[in-house]
Amino acid sequence: MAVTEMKKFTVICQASKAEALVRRLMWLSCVDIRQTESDGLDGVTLERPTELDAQITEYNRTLQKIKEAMKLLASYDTKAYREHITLKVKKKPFSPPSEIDFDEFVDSGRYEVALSKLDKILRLSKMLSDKKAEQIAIGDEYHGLLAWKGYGVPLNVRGTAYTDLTLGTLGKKANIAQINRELEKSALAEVIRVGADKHAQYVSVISHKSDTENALRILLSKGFSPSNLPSIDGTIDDAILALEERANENLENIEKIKAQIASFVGFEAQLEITHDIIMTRIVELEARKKLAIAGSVCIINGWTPVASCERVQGLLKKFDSAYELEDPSPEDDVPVLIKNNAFASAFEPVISLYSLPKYKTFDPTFIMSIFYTIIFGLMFADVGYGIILALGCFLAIKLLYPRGTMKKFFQMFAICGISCAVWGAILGGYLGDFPSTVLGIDANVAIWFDPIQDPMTFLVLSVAVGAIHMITGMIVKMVILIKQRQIFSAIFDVGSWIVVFVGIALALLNTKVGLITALTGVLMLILTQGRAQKNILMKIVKGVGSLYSITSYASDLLSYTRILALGLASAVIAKVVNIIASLGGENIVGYLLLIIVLLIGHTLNMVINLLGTFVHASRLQYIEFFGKFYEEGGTPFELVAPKSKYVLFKSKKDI
Amino acid sequence: MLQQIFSGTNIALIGVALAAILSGIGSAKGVGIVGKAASGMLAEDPSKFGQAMLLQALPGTQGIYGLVTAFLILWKAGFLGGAVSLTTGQGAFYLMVSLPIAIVGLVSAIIQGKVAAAGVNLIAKRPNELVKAIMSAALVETYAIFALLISLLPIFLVDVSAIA
Repeated sequence: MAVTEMKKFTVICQASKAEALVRRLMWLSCVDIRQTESDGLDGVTLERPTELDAQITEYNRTLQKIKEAMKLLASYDTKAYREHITLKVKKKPFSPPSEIDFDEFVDSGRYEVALSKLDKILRLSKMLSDKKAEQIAIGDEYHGLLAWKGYGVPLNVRGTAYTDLTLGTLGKKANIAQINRELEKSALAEVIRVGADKHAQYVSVISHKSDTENALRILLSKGFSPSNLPSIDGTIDDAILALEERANENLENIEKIKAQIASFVGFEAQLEITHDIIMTRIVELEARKKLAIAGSVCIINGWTPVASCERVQGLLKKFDSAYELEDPSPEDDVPVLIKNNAFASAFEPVISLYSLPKYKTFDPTFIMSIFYTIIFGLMFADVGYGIILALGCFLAIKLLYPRGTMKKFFQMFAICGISCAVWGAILGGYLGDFPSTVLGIDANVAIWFDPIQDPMTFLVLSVAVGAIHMITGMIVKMVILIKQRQIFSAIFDVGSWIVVFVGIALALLNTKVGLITALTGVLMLILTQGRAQKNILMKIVKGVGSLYSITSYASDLLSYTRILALGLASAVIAKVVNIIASLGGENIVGYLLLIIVLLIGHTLNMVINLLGTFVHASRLQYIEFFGKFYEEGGTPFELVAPKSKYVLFKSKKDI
Repeated sequence: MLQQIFSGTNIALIGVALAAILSGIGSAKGVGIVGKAASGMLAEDPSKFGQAMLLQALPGTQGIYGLVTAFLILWKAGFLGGAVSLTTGQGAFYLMVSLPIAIVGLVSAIIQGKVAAAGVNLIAKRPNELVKAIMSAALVETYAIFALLISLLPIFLVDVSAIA
């Protein structure tokens, strides 16, 4: 219901104790630590703790490693590795997050153990990829040798006393007999075919030592290329055998490493905790970067809600630090934290998507949440869809343990879902016209009216809701002005317009009374809107000119016809889905079609229209409602608190 | 001859065709625009595939709207049930009601594609801003929904047999 009142604190403590103090301030979860500026501190040169950036980078790298390891372990959590998995503490799906308290957070022993295990996992992973690369290399070599199979000379024999022996390949289509005939003429050499595959012919060349160079030159021109075979004391078959052995050994190693990695499956739970501890340590380091150090003292600046002052003070006293808690001065950029009751706080994300209110201005969350619920329900009025939405969100909250903004969104859509169901009952939407089209119940299920049959009534209803919404916004503006003691502005600038609108509304019931009321409002506007002008003529011109604003009010009001458009759209598309679904007739194929079309069609309709409804229900708040009074642009209160993705950090009241 | 070609039945079928063709072209184009932008982003960060898919699917709805309209005209005019004979006036009625979703579907899908492609660039740099990217694109979709509404309401509400 309100923007929280803040106190500014400045703390001077021993630099050696700063780390421990910031850590505990973080665990109090009620402060926003700001950058300490050096101006206003005469004669003191401030140093910033600089070594922290390197540490943050290091932590971020570790976070990356943890993600990598968790991905790796997840891929080993399969039946194939079951026998190697020793840790049987498997997390059941939908189980609540584990809780970590301050003592467990600061207990670094477990953390170190986890890190060393992490390194081991990643080392194994690295070894595994090395071994796999080796296996591929062995395979390549093996296939290279296979073509030489049958070549009986030991591979380290490269000739005799008078001859050289060269091994190599010739093109697939090279004619060896022809080449030998040519060699006979000009060189002392002979080519002998050993084998062939689809790429090349494998040959050995015997040449006289004195003529080897010449012979090879001729052969090179014929497409010969020397091969590099391992120089071992054995034949090619021995080499192939050796490679096979190496491959088998390597394969065994790979399996061993895989088994070793699999033995870490189940360790994820611990990695999750480590992950969150590191994330929280980064928050802590980021906060410490904002401190300033002057010699052996450290200066901390920040904000805390008035309600938490006592806890902060209690902590600061324990650290024997000098501190000051003061009220914000007008030039301060006070951080804004909005606080609402359980119902309205679900709608806070809608506000933060737009912009927070300025400090000490009106927080419209509660009023907005009521209108948001009503308008959302009207735009998506359907009992079926509403129940599905509400149930889905309730289940998501119960089973997925969302936190922060995500949880609020689920809560908000759950509330809106109920509203949709209520409006659906009033306007007769049950998965569109499911009862009449599919079930064949020919009765008017609407409590009030059916929007498709009677769109005019729906139009009037939309605009009427809009008028109430807008007038509420104007009343809020009036109250704000009155609180600021601008009574004239409140009554004349805003009040007269309200009189005009109430008059127009009354005219629908009783023409005479309404007209008189509206004209009174108009007269008030003409007489008062020029009051800032000195010249009497200008006063009248300004007064009459102010009536021009009626166009902007009218366009705002017309904007609410989107309630009709979106409300009808979801109902009409649902009707279409029902019609298509029931085309199949009363046989097995027909029933199958019915179920498939209903499932796909209604899901699609829900997704598309939920998106549209969310966007437009928000827009009506942002532009038509907030436009009347809202002072946006507040700096968000950035809570310094343990941050987590997997576990829950239990905050401690007394630390 | 000409009278046979432009019979009421055939004029209605032109409406059916326009609703399916134009909005289909729009969606294909729109989805294509986002797809190109998404591939650029996925080349650098394949893990954003889910988010990119979501944005890419947005301009696809106009095609569905066109299909729904086409289908409803077929159903209401009796094409699904066998022989149909519509007067010229009745045929013209179905042609007219198909126009809003055909034309707005074509244009809005392409524009929505461009906005969603810009959204892809947004999440490439700021992955947390997906909601805002979707909201921008969803605002364009509104007009396709409105056009669909105006195409469908007469199909449901007007008594076609009374048209000469």
